[in-house]
Amino acid sequence: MTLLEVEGLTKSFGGIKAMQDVSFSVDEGQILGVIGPNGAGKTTLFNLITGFLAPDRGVVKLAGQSITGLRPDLIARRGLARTFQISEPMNALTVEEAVRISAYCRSGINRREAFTVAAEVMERVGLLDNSKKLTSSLTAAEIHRLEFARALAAGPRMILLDELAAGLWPEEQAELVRLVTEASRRDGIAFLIVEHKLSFLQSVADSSIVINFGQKIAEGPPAEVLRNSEVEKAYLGSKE
Amino acid sequence: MKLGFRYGVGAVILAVVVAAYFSGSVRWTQLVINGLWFALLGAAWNIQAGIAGVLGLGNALFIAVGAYTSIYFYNTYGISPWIGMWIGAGISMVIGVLVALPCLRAGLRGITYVFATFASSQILLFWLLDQRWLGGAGGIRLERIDHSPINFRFTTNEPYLLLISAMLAAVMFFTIFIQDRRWGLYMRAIRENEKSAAMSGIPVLRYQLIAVALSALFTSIAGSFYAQFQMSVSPSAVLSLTMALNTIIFTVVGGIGFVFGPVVGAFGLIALSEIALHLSGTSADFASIRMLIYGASIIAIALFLPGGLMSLFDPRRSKDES
Repeated sequence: MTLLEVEGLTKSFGGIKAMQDVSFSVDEGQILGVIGPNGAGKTTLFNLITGFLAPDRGVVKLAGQSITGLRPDLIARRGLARTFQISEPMNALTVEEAVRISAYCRSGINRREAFTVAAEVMERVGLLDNSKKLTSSLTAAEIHRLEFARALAAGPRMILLDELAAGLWPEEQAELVRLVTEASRRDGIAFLIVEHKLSFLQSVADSSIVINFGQKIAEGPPAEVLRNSEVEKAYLGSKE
Repeated sequence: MKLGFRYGVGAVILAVVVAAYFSGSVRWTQLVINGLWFALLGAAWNIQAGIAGVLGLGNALFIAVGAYTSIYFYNTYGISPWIGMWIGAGISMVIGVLVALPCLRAGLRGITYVFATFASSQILLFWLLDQRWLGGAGGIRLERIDHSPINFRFTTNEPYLLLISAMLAAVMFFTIFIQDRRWGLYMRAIRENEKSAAMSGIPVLRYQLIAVALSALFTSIAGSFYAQFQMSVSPSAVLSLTMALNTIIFTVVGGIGFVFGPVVGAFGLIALSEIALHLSGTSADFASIRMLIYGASIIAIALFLPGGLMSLFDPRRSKDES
């Protein structure tokens, strides 16, 4: 069943067309990769979907209902969680506090339930031993896991991952693949993943779309899409 | 250890209050009441600035509203200050939200928000100067002195000492209570990162306004206490820049965001000021020496201990620790 529908999304900044008529959809539990060179409009796409930017034209629907132009916190409460590219830290909070904050955003949850949810999520991503630590004292890999934990704790139907595998060692990356796959297969959470590490995308994504200059130029399984000549030109153009 | 230290600080403050209570000295009780009052202002400001990260400089406005309201309603309608203080608190919360809403929505943060909120307190100052029904520049005073607990009027300082202690304790307990509950966690998330907080589903503006309203509520109550204790209030006494800055200096020196920060800062700086006064004796330029020591200490703390005195004992919270 279709969970996220993006139709004709368009956004300009001054004279620059950052997003032109982009359409795609993501099914429940599906993992869709977004591929594209720097400045292609991937983060703009995320900001448009999550309400940090309002589109000039186009519609974003979650489970059949339009979320276009809603405030970010209201979109989050409808089940769309997000991690940030430059992870936006909460330095003076402990790990468990940061995760509890997300858990509290589930509707009708009380304090004890929020604490239980946070503990479960921290155990799942392997942060339980660090739960009392300040987030500012975590390593880069732990911060990435915390970002994932915070997204998971909100009880989302879909998670948008922005460059979450960046700067990770291969074994840390493999752990992230396991966590994402598990969340998708077991909990039916859909993923939209922006990632430069194509190896990561290839091992996790069911399908992918390619964006360049704000336009969708290809769609299909990552391995297939990357063989496409237009994609190669966009991505590796400098080699010519 | 953190908790143990909290108890330690609490015990020292309590000891000072008890000692002052039994000292029978008007000067001592007065001094400790003064310290507790500033600590209360700091604790109230701490909720919006320390916990929610909304750095406003307009809280003197709420002191004035609380002070004027309690006296005006007592003089005009014979309404007990115990009720008048809640009327003032209600008015303060409404004004606080009305000022903060457009500023925060327009994206004012940091220094621009500081200016906007300070300007709001200055608007009230200039408005009050023209209001003859509120005594203009001279302000208003209690017209009937009727000693009775019902009228918030006592013959000695000791009951006031107990009252202000209870008020401060209530605000501090409230702050501790919300710290790891929904309100407190949401506010702290907003302080750390508004964007990330919003993406966690937190209605950022709403919780910023709740923080401002709580701050206004407690500051206004402190204002009513001030008016009843002093038996008068004038625009220049409560709406000066000194008043606005003192609250912030005490809180920042003690440790912004720490529950005990404001009370440690207020007691520490007032004690220092008294010691400086004692050392400089009654020589001709004692005032300048006193202010010199006072000022130098504040600069030293700002430079070498930006987290405030409390961060000495809880380095976990210090920013440089990462």
